[in-house]
Amino acid sequence: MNLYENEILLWLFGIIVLAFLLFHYKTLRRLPAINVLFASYVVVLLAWTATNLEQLFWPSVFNTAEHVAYLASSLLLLIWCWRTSGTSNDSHD
Amino acid sequence: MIAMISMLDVASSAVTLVALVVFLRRSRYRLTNTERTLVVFACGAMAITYGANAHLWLGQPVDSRVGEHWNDYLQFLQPALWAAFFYVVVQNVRYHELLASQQRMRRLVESMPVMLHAYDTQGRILAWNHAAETVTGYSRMEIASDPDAMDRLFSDARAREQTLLECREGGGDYHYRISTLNGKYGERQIAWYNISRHFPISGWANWCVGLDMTEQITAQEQLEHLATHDELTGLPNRALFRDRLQHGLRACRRKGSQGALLMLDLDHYKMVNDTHGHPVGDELLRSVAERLGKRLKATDTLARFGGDEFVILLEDISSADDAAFVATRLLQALSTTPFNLFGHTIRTSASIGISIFPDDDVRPDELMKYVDMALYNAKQNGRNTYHFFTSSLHGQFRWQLEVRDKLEKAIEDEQLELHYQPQVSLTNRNLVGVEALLRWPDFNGQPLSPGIFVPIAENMGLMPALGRWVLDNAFHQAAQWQAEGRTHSISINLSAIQLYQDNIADIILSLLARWQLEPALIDLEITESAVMNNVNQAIATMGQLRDKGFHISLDDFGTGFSSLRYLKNFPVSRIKIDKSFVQGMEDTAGDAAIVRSVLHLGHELGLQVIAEGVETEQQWRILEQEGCDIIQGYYCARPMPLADLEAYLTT
Repeated sequence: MNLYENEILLWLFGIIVLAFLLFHYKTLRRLPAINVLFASYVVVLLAWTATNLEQLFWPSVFNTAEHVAYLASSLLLLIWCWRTSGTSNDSHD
Repeated sequence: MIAMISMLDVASSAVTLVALVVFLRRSRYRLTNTERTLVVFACGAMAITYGANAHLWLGQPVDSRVGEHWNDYLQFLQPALWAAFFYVVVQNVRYHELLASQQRMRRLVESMPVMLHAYDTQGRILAWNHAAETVTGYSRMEIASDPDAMDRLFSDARAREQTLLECREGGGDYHYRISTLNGKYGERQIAWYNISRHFPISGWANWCVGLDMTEQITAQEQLEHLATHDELTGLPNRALFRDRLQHGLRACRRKGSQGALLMLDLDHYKMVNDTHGHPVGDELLRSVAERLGKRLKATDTLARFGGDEFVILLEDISSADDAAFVATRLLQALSTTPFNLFGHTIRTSASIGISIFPDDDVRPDELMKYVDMALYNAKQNGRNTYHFFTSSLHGQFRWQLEVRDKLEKAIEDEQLELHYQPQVSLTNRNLVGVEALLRWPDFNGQPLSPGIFVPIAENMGLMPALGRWVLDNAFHQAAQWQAEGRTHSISINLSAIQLYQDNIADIILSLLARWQLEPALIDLEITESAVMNNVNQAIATMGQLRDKGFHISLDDFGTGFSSLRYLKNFPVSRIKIDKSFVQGMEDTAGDAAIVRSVLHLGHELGLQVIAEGVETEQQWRILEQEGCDIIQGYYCARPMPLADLEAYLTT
């Protein structure tokens, strides 16, 4: 039942980035399919949360959840990458 | 369990790698290079991290190959790279928003209806918008490439530069002002608001916002000019003249000098208007103003008060003789050379009243009153002359005003009378007509001679009403005689003012219809001098009346400088020899010769000749011998009231 400091720092770092994301969400909406990218990031943050929680209780469940979340995040990232396709007219610059 | 987790990690890593490949192939246009690079690194970091997690499934620990706990730190790359990516995206969006804002601002500046002009310490043009190009006629390129452009554009460029230098050194702003801009297509008046200061990014610069006020300023100047000048002649009007008069009076008090006020009025200007029309009348006023202006000094003020009334202010004269000299010059300028206007040759003259200040007064209103009186006196003295104001004029003027007021009332109250003087035929000694003569029996309890009140009526605008009263009453009497079966005519004098009234023929014809009178019973007498004021119009009016059946007589013949060339064209049936010739013919051979000549001339032209002013039997005999047709005078009968005439006719 030991928490690892690198995992806690990773989670905190992820929370700060999430706060930045939420704060600038309106601005970031200029990105194509931002909701998918946002979901991908939230899911990976959930994975980092789970890796901390597995140290406290239900280690198998949270461990599995962590790795499932990684996969889900990767899939969402793949969807986002696919949807970023387009022409120069769609560019935010 | 561990195998499943490892498989999940492998799958995650593989999916991330696929995502990376997809991203590299498809995201070319939608993200910037920096963003793409960050996404690639983030994906790479994710793929490596997930792959590293799969060490158990691969059968050997990663830590043993690349070092202890390296995956723990590799994990930090993920949020770090995503954070960097999102940060860069935000910055890019802001940058593009800023660019778009700048573009909007540039479009706004370009399309602004005001000039925008800016330059820095080196004189480099920072802004020169479309309005500036339009107003000045110079494009931004022309301005930027021509180092002397500013000097050419701004008439006060040096002073402006100095002011800007002071602003730059002192840190102050450049003030609002209106200045002239020498554009390519002419001068423009620009209202500038300048901001001259050190800006945080661009350094010191002078930003000028200019509003083209040329139309507004021109309109304002025109309004001011209209408010102070006469529109027709361009001369100062009453308001501006009054201001200059007050200024002149103050200067005169300060310096102890003298000045003169002259009021000039054209003689018989109304006739010019009535005869030739208002365009010619207006042009005459313009030409008169021009001639007068040429005869005056630059320091004198010439103004027009309206109508044909001009006023002149002479400042700093040494004596009243100077004013008289100027008045003489002005009169000569108008009377010696006729005006050629629209093909018409117009001869005119003027009368001038003069008042000297401070001798007469120092109050502008009083001076204006005095000069008006002096002008009136000049007109009464035969026109084409000038007259100084004297204190006696004041009383005289008041008396004339009294006459005018009472005469007006006398016309309304029917207090005037017509007396009649018989006209006798020398052929058969019968009465052939009577001349109606106006009398005013009760002016302040005494009769007043028509020789006094008729000129006052003429000069004070009462003649149309007075003339109409005479015509109406004479026609009325003639109608009564006509009803009684009497066949003698009635002679009625028409004054010069009546002759040139626009509607005189209509007035006479309407009275004729009113009293149902035979026109042949009416003899309208017009003096030779009245006809000569405007021969063409007089001939037209006389012809119109003669065509309706009236008799027309040329009164006071021989005194009016008429040309014999005109006489044959006058539509008259009689001429009346002036009494001065008749009364002089007993003693003066010249008068007798004139009477003989007029009689002969009249008969040769087929006209009847009447001799007026016959007072002696000798005159009667001479006229009878010479073949005169009709005589009129005290020898036959004095002018008499109607009742006496009735008695005279009975006997």
